[in-house]
Amino acid sequence: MEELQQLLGEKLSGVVEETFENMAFISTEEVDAEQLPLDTEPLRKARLLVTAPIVIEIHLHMAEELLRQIVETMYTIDAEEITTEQILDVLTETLNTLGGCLMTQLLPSDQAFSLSLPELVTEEFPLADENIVLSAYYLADELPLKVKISAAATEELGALLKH
Amino acid sequence: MGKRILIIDDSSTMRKIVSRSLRQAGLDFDEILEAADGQEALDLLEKEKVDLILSDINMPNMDGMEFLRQKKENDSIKDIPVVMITTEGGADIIGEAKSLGAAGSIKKPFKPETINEVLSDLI
Repeated sequence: MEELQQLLGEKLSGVVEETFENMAFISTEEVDAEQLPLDTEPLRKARLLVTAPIVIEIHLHMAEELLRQIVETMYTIDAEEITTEQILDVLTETLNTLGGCLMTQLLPSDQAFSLSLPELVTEEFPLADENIVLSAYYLADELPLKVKISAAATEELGALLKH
Repeated sequence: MGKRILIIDDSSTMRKIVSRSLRQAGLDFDEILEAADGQEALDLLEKEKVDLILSDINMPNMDGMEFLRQKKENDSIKDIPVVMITTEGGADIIGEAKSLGAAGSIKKPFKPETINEVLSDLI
């Protein structure tokens, strides 16, 4: 399990960095959980299912302030003009891109995969702890973001990582 | 009339990112039009002339594959080149899109250089 987490963590960090740089010109830094200012920053949460070739659930939690900054830059609008719809669209599209990029990294180049449409999460993280394969924490412009990956079939996930 | 590019994506954020990348890529075009799904794009193409289409695959209502199928059957728009922008980079997905007439594909996340590389011969 430890080897699986390390391999997955390395792939995920590269994917997070690439996704945020290309989408929002924001650099990210992986940190320990206790370095995240979670108590002061409200988080917006979304999840995405990888439905094939194995089932994986990916959760992305981002500080609302980080999402607001991205919206402001991307839509070229003032802070007071930002809508909740724009904030949530940035969150779900970031997760969609991140999920696709991660699967491309994990799978052989000729292996197809399927993703669900991303959906918002309003309740607490609903998965059983034993299914969580990896929790990774990052700072982007000093603001927190968190990625959780769960999979019931950890052996299959491990096999994918060793392809 | 100047050259026009249509972006089809259910995410307004991705439409913004694609628009930004198109402008940064230094391509020769004058206007960008947007649609939120395949059906909205087909409706828009009945009224507007477009030179190139960039389309997402995974969309609610009408997805990118169904859009390609319907476009292929419509003589007035079937020759407009379409490039798919997708998270699913698998060979079978890209192969299916090409069999339905797609001229190429770009995988998210992408840089303006990639946009330029794929689109420069199409516009």
